[in-house]
Amino acid sequence: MPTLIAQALTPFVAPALAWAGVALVSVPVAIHLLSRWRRKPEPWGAMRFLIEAYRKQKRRMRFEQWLLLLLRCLIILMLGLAVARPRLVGALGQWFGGLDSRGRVVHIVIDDAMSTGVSDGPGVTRFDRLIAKAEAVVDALEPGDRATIWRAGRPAGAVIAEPTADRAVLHDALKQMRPGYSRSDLATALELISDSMEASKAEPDHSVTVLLGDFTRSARYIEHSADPDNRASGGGALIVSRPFPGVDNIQVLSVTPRRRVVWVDGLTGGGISAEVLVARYAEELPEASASLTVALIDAGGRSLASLRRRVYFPAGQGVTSVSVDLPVEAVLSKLDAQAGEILTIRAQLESVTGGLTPDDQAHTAVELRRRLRVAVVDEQVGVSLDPDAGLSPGQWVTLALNPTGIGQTGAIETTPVTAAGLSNPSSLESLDAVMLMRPDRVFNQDWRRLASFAESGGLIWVFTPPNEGSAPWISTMIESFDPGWRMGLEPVDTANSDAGRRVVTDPLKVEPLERLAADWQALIRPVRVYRGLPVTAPGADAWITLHPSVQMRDETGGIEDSARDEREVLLAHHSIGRGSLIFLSTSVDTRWTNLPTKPLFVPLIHETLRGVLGLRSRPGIVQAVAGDRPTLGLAWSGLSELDRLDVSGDFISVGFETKLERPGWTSGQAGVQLVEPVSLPGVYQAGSDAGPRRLIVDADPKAGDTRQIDEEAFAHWLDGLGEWRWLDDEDPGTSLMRSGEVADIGWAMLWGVLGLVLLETVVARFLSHANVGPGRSLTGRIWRAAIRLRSGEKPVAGGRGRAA
Amino acid sequence: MPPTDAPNYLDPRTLAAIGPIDLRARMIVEGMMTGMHRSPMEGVSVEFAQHRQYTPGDDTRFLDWKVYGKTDKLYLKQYQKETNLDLVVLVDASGSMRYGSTRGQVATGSMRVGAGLSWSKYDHAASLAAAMCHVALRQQDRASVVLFSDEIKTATRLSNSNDQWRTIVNALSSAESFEVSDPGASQQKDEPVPGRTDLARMFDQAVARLNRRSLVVLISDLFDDVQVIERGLAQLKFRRHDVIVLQTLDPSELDFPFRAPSQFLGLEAEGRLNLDPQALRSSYLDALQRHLDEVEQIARRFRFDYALLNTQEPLGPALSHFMAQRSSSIGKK
Repeated sequence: MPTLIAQALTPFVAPALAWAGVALVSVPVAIHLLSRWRRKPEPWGAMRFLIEAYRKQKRRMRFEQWLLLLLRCLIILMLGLAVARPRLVGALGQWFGGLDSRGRVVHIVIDDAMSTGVSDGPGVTRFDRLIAKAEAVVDALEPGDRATIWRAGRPAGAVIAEPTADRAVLHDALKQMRPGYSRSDLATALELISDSMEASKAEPDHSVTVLLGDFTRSARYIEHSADPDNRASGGGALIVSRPFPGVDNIQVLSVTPRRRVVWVDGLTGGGISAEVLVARYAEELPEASASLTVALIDAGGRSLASLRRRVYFPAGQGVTSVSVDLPVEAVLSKLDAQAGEILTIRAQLESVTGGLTPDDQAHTAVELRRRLRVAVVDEQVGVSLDPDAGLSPGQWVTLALNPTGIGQTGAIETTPVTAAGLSNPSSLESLDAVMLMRPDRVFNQDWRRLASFAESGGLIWVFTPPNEGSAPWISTMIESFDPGWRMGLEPVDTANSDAGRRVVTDPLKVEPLERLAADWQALIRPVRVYRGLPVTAPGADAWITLHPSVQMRDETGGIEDSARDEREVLLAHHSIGRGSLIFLSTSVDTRWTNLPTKPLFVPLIHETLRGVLGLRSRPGIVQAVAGDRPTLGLAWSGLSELDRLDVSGDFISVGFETKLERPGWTSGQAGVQLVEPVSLPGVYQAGSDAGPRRLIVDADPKAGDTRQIDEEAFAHWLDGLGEWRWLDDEDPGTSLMRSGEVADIGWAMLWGVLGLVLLETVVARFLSHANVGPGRSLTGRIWRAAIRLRSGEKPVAGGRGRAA
Repeated sequence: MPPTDAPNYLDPRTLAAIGPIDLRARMIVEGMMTGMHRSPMEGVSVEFAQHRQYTPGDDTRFLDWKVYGKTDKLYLKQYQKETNLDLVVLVDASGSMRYGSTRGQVATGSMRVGAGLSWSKYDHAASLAAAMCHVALRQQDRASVVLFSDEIKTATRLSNSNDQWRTIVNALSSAESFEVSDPGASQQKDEPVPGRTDLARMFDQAVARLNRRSLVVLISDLFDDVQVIERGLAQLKFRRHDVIVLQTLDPSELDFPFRAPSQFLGLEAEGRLNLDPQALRSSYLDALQRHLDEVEQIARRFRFDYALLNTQEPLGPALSHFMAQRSSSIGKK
């Protein structure tokens, strides 16, 4: 309602003065009526001649009276309107606006978000409607006006950034526009326009911003308050098209594999697991179902396996998930699974009518690997089976990695390495993980090499060595990896060493360990820790914690703020670059903990190793949503072009013609980055000898909400931008008609008032036979009254010129 | 020569300060006679009037031989003429005659209203009529006054008796008590008591009364149709009466000096009129002037004396008209 009132009062800068002017019109009318009512009676003898004269002059006198009254009312009305600084619209405003020779800059912002691709009639989409409105606005440009075109779909940007008056150019640009695959990002578009205006030092009073969009709930900007500083028009006119009504839509939000890296040699009786999230958007959510096909596709577009699943939505539920296990085993024979081969998983909704089409599918990729190569750095190489000596930590871990027996038959290939062997530059090549059982034996310079290994995607798992006394290597490790943990330099025994410390059963939210969740309580119950390095880490890094937690206290005895979320950990994790650092605060030694002897040990080693390496985005696989400008790994450097494989069906190599819109790269510290955001969904690949790479771009999962936006909330958001008004959807061109220049109109009306005053004087003097005596015009009376007041003369109320 | 500081009794401003109408009339006559060198009433009569030096062409029958014998100079003897003139003065006492341009006041009859001195058209007409009758009665002429509005309201008989003067004065003073025979339907409560002008009826009644050839003096504002006036004067002409038409108007009526929008109130039940006087002044003056011209033309056509009397101007010229006409009328007999 405040918006409506504000828009109704838009024609005036000071509407109160305009209303006052309208109200003051009643003054001359009242004077006119009162003067007729309160006239002094004048007895008169020669009435017959007066009546005769009156009958002859009656029409003329009435005309003169009405004319004078009209002029006087007009003078007061126009004076009131002039000081109210009218902002005329329509043809009159256009004419007045034409007094100003300076043209305007009209910024046409078109929302090309994915939601605008919804059908709005036979063969017509909402985007077509928006383009038609934009063309009407272009056609309504006045001489001297220039226009720019911006798109609001993420990434928002300029279509025509430099204002141009060439309508043909504008029309051509509009015809080439298509709806995108991302969310609306109107705020960024307005910010860009504001920056553009600021750079060009454009005058805000001569700018008009026209926002054309469907304004659905998928809009990104509505989640935050509008920033008045980003007001594109900088105080100029802001015209907004009305939101479209909502439509129902169903969308595949995501496909997520359980493991991004799959070791083929380890697949026995299983498959490639993935979870598909499907959402539906509707005002009412009755029970519904849909059909979903999930397919595994190789690099050549060949479908290796596919499954069809029913997607079921209970009543009132908007999002549901479907889990699938693609039978890889059955197609392994089809695969020539070379190391690093990348397969694509595509989830596709079938037989969906209405709503959006581009969001009915989603993709992800998994990397097939034959083996996982792990180096176990121990004091000595080899496995001793001497029962007296017991198992060294390295032996415990090696056995855990290959529990079926001694030998390299499993999916994990272990390589025993001594600490001194790490000094060999080639020692870390082709490794996936390094398990440091004796970090105390690693040379300082090798710590840097290990850190670089982790940054490039490797996993460094540091175990506490079973040593007494101080551990100076910790300082070197922290210096190299900078994990942000608090670590003690000496091992600490638990107060009751016999009982040991228990592992805390925190809710298990660590994704790599999710597969242990079902048996977690049973697995950790018998585990005890008798000795270990005191390590505290932030909550996100503390994967497995010990009980009771150690709380760091400050000098006053209070709990330090920085320590509130820190816990003493058994297993800590820290991301570094594309890789990870994992630290076990106790030693794999039965004197320190009974963990190696408990059932948790083997699955913990395996799941942590596989999970971390499997979740770690592989250098060759990058997943993004439309509108992103993803940063690629260093493995992508050296490329200048990509082929885009269409998402509509089977993989079709389309060659270089449909490569990235603007191929080009800029080198960054963390890798290479595309020059322009990727706007088209699809699977991009580069067939390089350096190894397979896959850039998977899907439609924005948040762009499919096609429900109608809350118009009141939207208006409130627009209020944050300042003054605005709705676009006339029936005739968009009229909305662009120049709202009169405030100051010019005011002065023009004041000149009009002056003209009316002169006209009133002339009419009163010459049409009313005022030549008999002094002038009888309104202004003349005011002038004479002022003179009388100055001279102290009393005003004469009528009367005759000559007395008897 | 009259004393320069003596009051001018022919001036309405002086007369307005004099209450009784008979006194006014005497003052008018005295004022007019003062300084006369030659009687306008000379003629053949048995009563000696004065001597005049002979000039060639004079009738030698009137030479005074006694004077010639004593002084050896030729003088003629002049005698006051015997007259039998009948003077009938028709005085308009209608509502419109009660208008007088005293600021903010309206004169009613011969009375003063309010604080200001009023001099209505009726005051002017009555004073003039009384003065004429006074002169006539002094010459032993028979005189009579007739007061009318929509009809003859009061008429004195023709007489030159000693109490005729008093009768005439009383009649002129009684005009205030006149009422209209048919009060106007549009009459408002706050309007002055009117008497409509109906000259046609008055002429009919007056002609019926005058069975001897008379000198008829009509003193009125003549606010009636020109055709009616023409028909009435034609009746008098047909009866061979000598007629003096003295049209009496207020200076405001002649000039229409009003400026402020006012509500004009008809004194003869014409109703009210809200108007802007400045817008109508020109048209009003045109209509009035056209009426005055037409009345004068009618009077001239019948060879009647006509004069337009401004109530702000002295009564002398009007009275001189009367004297001259009287002499002329006597000469015709």
